[in-house]
Amino acid sequence: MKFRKILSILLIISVAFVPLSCNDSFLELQPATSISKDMALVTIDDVETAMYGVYDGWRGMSGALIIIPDIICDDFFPVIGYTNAYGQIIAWDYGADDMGYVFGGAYNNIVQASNIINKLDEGLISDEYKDRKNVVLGTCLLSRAMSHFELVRAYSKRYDKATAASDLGVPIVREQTITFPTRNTVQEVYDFIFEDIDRVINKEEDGSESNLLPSIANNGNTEFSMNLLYAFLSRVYLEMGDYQNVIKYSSLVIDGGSYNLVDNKYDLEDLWEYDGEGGGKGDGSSEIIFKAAITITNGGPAIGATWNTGQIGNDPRPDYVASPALLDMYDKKDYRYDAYFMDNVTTPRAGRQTILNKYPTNPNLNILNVNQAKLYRIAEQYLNRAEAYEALGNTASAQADLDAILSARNATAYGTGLKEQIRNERRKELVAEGFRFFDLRRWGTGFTRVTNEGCIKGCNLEVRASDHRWLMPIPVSEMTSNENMVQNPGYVK
Amino acid sequence: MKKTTLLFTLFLFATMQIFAQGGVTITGTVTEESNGEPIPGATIQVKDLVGVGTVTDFDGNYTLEVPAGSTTLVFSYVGLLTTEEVIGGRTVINVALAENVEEKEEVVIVAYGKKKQEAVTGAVSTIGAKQIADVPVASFDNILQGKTAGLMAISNNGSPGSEATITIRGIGSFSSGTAPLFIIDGVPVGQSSFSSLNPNNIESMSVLKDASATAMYGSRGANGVILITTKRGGIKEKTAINYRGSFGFGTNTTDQFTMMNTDQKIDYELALGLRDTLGLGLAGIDTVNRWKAVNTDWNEVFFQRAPMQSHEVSAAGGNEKTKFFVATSFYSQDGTLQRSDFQRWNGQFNFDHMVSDKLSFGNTLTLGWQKRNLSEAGGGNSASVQNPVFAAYLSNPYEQPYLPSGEKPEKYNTYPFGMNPYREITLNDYTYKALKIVSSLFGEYSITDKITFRSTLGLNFSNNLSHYYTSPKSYSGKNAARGGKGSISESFGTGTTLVNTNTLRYSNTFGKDHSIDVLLGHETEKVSSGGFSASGVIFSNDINRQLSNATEMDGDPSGSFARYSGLLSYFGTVAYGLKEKYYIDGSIRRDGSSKFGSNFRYANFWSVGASWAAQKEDFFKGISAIDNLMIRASAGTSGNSNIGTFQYAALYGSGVNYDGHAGSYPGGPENPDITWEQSFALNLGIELGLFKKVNTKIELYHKGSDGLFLVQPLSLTTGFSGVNKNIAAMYNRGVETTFDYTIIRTDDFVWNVNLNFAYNVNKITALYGDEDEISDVGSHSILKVGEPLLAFWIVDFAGVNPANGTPLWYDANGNITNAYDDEALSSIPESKNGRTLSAIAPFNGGFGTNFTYKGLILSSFFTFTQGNYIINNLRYFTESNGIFGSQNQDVAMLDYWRNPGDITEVQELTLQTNEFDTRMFEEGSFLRLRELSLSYQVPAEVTDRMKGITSMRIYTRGQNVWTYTKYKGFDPEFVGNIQLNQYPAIRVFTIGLDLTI
Repeated sequence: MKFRKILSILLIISVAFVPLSCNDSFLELQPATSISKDMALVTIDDVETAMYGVYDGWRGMSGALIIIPDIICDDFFPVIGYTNAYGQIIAWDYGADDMGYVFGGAYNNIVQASNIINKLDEGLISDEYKDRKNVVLGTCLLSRAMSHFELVRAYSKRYDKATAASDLGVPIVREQTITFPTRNTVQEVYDFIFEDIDRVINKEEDGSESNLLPSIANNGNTEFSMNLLYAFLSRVYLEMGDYQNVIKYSSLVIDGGSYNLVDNKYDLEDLWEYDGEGGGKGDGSSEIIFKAAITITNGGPAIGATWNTGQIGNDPRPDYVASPALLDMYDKKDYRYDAYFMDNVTTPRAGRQTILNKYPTNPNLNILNVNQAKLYRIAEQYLNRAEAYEALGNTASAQADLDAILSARNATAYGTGLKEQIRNERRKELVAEGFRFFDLRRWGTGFTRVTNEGCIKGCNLEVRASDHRWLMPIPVSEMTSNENMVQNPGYVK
Repeated sequence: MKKTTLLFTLFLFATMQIFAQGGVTITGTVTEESNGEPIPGATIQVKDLVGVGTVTDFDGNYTLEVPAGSTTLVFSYVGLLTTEEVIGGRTVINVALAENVEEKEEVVIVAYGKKKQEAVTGAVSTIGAKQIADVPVASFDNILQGKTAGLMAISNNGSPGSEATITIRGIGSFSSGTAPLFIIDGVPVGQSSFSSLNPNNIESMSVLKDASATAMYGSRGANGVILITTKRGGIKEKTAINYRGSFGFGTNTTDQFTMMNTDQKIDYELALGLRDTLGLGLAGIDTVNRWKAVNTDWNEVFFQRAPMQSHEVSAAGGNEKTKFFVATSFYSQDGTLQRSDFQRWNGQFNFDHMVSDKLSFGNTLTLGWQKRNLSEAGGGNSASVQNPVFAAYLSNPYEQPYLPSGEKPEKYNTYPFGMNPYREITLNDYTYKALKIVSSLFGEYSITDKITFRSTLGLNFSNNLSHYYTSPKSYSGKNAARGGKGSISESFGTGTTLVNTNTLRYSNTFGKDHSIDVLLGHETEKVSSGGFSASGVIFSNDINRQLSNATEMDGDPSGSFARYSGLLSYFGTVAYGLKEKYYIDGSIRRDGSSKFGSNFRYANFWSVGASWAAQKEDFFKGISAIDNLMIRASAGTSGNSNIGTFQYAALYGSGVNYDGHAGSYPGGPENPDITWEQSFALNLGIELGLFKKVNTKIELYHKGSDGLFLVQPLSLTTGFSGVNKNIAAMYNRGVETTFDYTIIRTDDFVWNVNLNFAYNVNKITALYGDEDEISDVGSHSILKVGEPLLAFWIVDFAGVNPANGTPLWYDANGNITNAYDDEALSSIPESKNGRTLSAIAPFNGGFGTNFTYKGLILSSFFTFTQGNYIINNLRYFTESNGIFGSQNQDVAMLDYWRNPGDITEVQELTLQTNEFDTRMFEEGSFLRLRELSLSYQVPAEVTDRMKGITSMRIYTRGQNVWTYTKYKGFDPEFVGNIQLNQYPAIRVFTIGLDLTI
């Protein structure tokens, strides 16, 4: 009986105390699917992994970067039966909560890059991995510069040397911290961009350059390279109106010979349908300096959906179709006309229209309307340089660059006078690649959207160069969360 | 039951009589002291002589031969006080047994134990087994609305097996969960476990409403607690085997939509210009005229009459040391929507054993396996055109589900996106299977007769598998990724809660006047969950519908999650009673949670309470009218930590893939100060019983909730959009009344009415920073200091301008304008009495009446809510001013403005605008006849003649029989500010049989 009693007590105690321990460490748990920030960036492998997270940010932003600056200008209009996508902004009656551009995405990218830069600057990772460290550091610095540029370009006035020191830029961010920053000046933002860039173009003590990034990316055109940095600088200087430097950096890319214009329709088809990855009859990869990679398994923004919301195997159902004014600029023999457009398409409710086919479903990916964003292309460099030469009065060189594009595309120039022809060629070449809004603002011309029957909203819209909406509005969520933020003129909140 | 016991004991003693020889014969009658009635089946035993005894007959008489030398007889009967009589040479011994007061006294299940009703200082109400028996619903939480004051249980989804939205005394949190803590037999469970439980296995439910009742659950108690106790066997109880079965069918509760017929719709389309001859790809007039031959009622196509059935067998009983309850059941219910149904197998095994006087142990095991078919992807109320609710209204009447050949057409002529949703539903699958186990094992050891140690180990386990398949033959399957040959996605989830509770209880009475009860406890709880999903595309046939039959992966083919958290607690209560009239108690609990950073990991919660059984005072003794007068008061705190895990830390996520490389990214900002939501509650209650007929209870309460989580927006320059902060506050105040009146009580006839009613005021008292309002244009709601939750933010429609047919609205200043601007609104629509309109009903409750005549019981139960509003979002589509004119429209749209001077609410047709405004803003109050039942208990005289049957009951019952509401949508039983495509509540009629052998 006594034995039985002891046994019983043991039974009770075992039920009570064995299954779960009960001290404080019971509450010290680590999450299963994340790790703390301190543990995330310790080894060289860690920072490389984090760097690919930075690249992934560009994949995320690429949809807005490509679509918004083009859809709101004069090349496209929405047709009857459209899904109401971008319905607010294409009529240019947008307020602070309608834009959906990259404000949050760019800052997220900046914070991500800064975490890595600051970690590397602590010097805790062994120099044994110097080469790998350099690539990670260069990539993050360039990414941070590119993101700051996307911000200052969209949300601030175009750079003007005379007023830049007082014009409102965007907040400069260097670290992950919870603050409510004010806007830096445009000058400060550009200075910071060049500060980051100068670290990538690393001047050794003996005066020679030892760049952090390779001339061509190790992984082809889906990662950053010095050529991308030069192409980026050309774009920055064009925005700043520093034409000498546009010529300098575009020339570095063009003369470097790593990237070439393609000169037949098969290569052009490969570039736009297969993202330069082959699978058709040609090879257009030589035009791409940087594209935001999408693979079958990770997916990405369905950029093509804006121009064709239809399902595979069914008739196209475009939201937006091409303006007749744009289409008139192309020769029928122009390779781009077939590569970029599908004409005479029957829409469900808006009759026959011509739709953009620059972002069809990439057959290699076979994900509906998904096609990788070619964010930097060699053709832009020719057009940047042509515009710069022309602005500096070097018409012969400008003409040569224009001719390079025209001959590669089997095209004829449109319009009168070299300046207009360069601008029109830029419109024809870079349509739906995220340039139009910023080009029109740089030229200060305003626009009239020429539309067909079947247009439902923003038809024949006229926008003057003086419109306050050429500066995008700071998002309303930023205005409400950050009392130090100042809105751009003309917007309510 | 008396007769059952009689038969049983007669049987037992028949075999024992043979030992009773050679003594004296004693006769007598056993009666009940209170009324003098004879007691059949009372037990008479000779003391200390096991096996010698008898039972009384139907008239309470007995005859017992007592062996020589016997001194004492023991008289006993269930519910009455056992009495001993010394024989002393007598041959006739008549005994009147008194009521066993202690046993009869109502005992209430409270936190970590039970209490006498009058010792309860807090607000606790009990829902008994009868109130949830026979319910023809899969998840019994759906029928709790109105059962007890202050408990709201709204069925947002009529899909069989879905959960109700339950709140106790209003909503006390913005974002961290508003459902109470549910505990089945000591194990915390999620509401999703309810659909796995057979409601007939529930013995009782205690609803703990105020801090004195919930503080013992500390960090989880702020939203109230519901304790569910399952049935157990009885010591020395004859094994009763019970069968219950029911059959029935469900139909749709009606809505008040009035959709166009074919002629109306075609006229409307012609007027709209949809059927013109411009060659815009639309059918011309000739085609349209052919369509006129068809007039389909799509409600009949998508809704169905839904059979249900339920069968269960249970057995309960026990001997001197062991008692048990086992049950198994099968339940099957079809949904009223095509392709939706629910099936459940359930098992219950409850067992108790006394090893010795000091040691006992037992277990509770609830097993439930369920399988559901869902009518659409996601199973919810989505706006997908594949949602049959949506399709039932928007499908054009000139289309048909079947072609004359009997085939289902793949596409309609005009349906949006071309597909025939009826065909989609029939070709594709969406199933959900789940296994849920709730188990607890306990041991109890009496260290002395005053001190008891008890330990419980509880487990709540669930596995679920969902399977979503689109056939390569279906429209959506043909549009699946990678070539359009069907697709599949499956996900598996599993969750475990392990809880270990150890308590030490000291109970003692000093003299006659003092009683004391002390409880000390320690509890650890570990919650973990995880799961994974996979998807594939390209099926080579439509027969093998499994993941392994898919030829290729689809996108990122797999995902997973894993979460865990721990809770560590210490708690104690002290209760003191004086003269069985005055009671006070206090409790304290300290909780630590892994969800919070080390600075804010622990929090303390407390409560104090007092009660006074006033009717026991001498000065009430002379007033015979008053049976009961109780006054209760309590105050205390509780908390809410129902948020995600590891929010306090800056984290990095991984699993991103960039071009084949692994990537990581910052997952969120550091948030070290995050901690519990706290609430402070006061409660005052008065209970009054009069003339043994009327019982009424009134309770007043206040619950202030502080440090409520709200996502404080961050500057986007931080890289993040917001962070959860303990910043907001609100309160709920209200009054609850229950009233029970037995109008007539005779031997054969009882008529009873009961009512409960609650009024709750919810008010936001702080948001973040200096903000006093946060509007959400997208969800048409606003959070505003001084106003209730879910207040509306919607532009007020001012009618149609008779001059030109354009719509008009009121602007912020109350002026009429023709410009719609949802951002420039500065006021909330108010009712005429100035009260802010909210989606939460301030008034709700239930009432019912029962007639009992002999074995016949007729009972009805109504439930109601009053004062809530709903945006009837489907009307945005069905009354779209022509915007959705290619889909079917409500007949109201035919009354569009045609000529100057027309007075109408429907604007001119060619404007083609459709704004979100108060046109679709409706009152959601309702009165619903929830239950109407008639049951007949076959008299004992009849069952006695049926061999082996001890009890038999047959019944018929209707659920959701009738509804009164002004709401025009699917179902006014809804919580939320916007209703779209809700699966309507089911009206069910059943007949059933309840048999005990």
